[in-house]
Amino acid sequence: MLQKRAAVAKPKFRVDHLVASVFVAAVAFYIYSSQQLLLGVILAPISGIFTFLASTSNKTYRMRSVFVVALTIVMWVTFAAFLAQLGGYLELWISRHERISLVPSALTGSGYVSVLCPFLIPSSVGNQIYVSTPIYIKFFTEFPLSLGTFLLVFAFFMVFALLLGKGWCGWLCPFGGLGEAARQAKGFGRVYNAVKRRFMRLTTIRASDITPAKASQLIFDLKYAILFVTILLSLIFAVQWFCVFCWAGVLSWVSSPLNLSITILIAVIFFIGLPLISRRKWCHFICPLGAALSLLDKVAPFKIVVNRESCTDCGVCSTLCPTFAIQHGVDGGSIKVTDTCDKCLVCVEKCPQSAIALKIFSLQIEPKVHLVTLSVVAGLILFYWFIVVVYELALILV
Amino acid sequence: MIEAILAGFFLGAANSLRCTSICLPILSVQLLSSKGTVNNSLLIVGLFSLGRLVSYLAVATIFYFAASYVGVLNSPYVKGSSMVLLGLIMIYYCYRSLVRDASVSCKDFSKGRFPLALGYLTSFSVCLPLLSVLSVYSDSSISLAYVAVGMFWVGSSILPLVAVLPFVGLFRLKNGSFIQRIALIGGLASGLLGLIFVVSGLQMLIG
Repeated sequence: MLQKRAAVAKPKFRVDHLVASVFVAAVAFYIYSSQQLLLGVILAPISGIFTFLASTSNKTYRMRSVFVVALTIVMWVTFAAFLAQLGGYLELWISRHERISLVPSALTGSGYVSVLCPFLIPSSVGNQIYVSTPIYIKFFTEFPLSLGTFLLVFAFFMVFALLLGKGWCGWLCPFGGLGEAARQAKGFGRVYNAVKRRFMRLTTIRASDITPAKASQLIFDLKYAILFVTILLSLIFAVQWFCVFCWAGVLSWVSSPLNLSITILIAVIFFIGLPLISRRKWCHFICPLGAALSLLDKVAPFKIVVNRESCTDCGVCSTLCPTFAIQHGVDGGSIKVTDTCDKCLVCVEKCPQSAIALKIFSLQIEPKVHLVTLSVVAGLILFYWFIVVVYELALILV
Repeated sequence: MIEAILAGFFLGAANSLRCTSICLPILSVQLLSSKGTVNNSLLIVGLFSLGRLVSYLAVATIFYFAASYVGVLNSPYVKGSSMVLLGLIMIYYCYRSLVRDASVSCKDFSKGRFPLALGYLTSFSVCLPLLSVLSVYSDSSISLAYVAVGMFWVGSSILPLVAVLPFVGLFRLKNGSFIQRIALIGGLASGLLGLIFVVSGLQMLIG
């Protein structure tokens, strides 16, 4: 049973919150006004106010959800508009214009789509070995943007992945954002609740339900096995097999109705069906990119820390955690924060004893404002990069 | 004889990269999941390689006595069946190592059942360099063909062995929790790879 929250801390105004907000607003204005002054003028106050509210609020987890869903919607709408402009079929359009594939692997032929995926790199190495063509030179010279831009994007990804760790999945991932949107779509009335109750037992694996430690570990480690096999096969056979069932590969399969149907089915199950009923299972048990970020999370500065003395093992955190990151009572022990934590902060803000805290290593500084600032700035840059890529692609292709 | 040794070895060495690409995924996940000692891991690598040698010798024998039928080995039915069988063995190993007691599968490994079978199934096909060796030396005598094929095996085994040796080093920390977890991931990866092989094999069989 959930215990009543003992004490709800009131939001406190601090100078560093204001400084962070002004900084974020300035970044937004600087980035976007260079492309479109009006965009900069609109986005600067929005991002600044959001940063201030999210930093001072006691419901940062909800604001995070709004942020990642908004980012997702804007990005996918932009991409859909771009596809519509090309006639709806990116791959067909490319083949019609006789553009050669950047990664001529057995499974994916659309280099312009694959180029956005980090798993392109190992399969490029495989191509280097097997096709014996200077694929890197091809890759860099035919990449829609310049080599410098590519390296900048790669560096951006690595820096923010190192700083945020698995927090990337919770705050920025445009794929997980769809699952997050479905997860938040609750309260559709009696029908929804009845369906949810009926299927809850079948589909939800609560951390507390997994009593055998090995079974729990198996589920949590599946993503690492997928990451290992993905990299191994990409590197050795130059085949991106994960694209076969990765729903993001939907854009590569537009010319194959069967594959497209399978991909859409998987997307519907994992990004709408299961999150609508319970939690984001794809992101934390299957996604190989999430697994790579979990590894980076070991060195990331932001950590969720549990105060064992204050913790009463009430189980509120493990019940509310949307990512199965908090295991309660496994092997008869106390709560344990696992590597699937995406720093959503729901446990921090809902703990009745205030026993869970976000920390930056062991430094005595306010961590939430730094996490929010970093995430919003990364989101602004990510979206800007996305616009630039789409714009450049449009210039090249149209 | 010297010519057969040198030709077999260098053709094998030239083909080593391809052999590595085929063997590495299968062998590395088996090594990761075996949780054995260094000696046990080396035994797995040795038996896997021995399985490959048996496979090459079988191909040489078929070629010597029925050269016109050797092309059957490269038919999609034989290749597909081998791949399905290979995948099923890997899935079975995944089941044995994860669901049942891991020590049982380690015991199976030490008896050499799985690595030998996996090595045999991985190499049971006719690639162009092997065919070149056989077509030159099987005209003389079967023993010369065996020598050439044996040296082909030695040449083609160098790179795979070098590639898997770093994995063998992991098993010094046999009882560490980190290694236990790596073994678990290796077992899962074995099952995943098995599934991929089964699907690929079925695709070959169906056409």
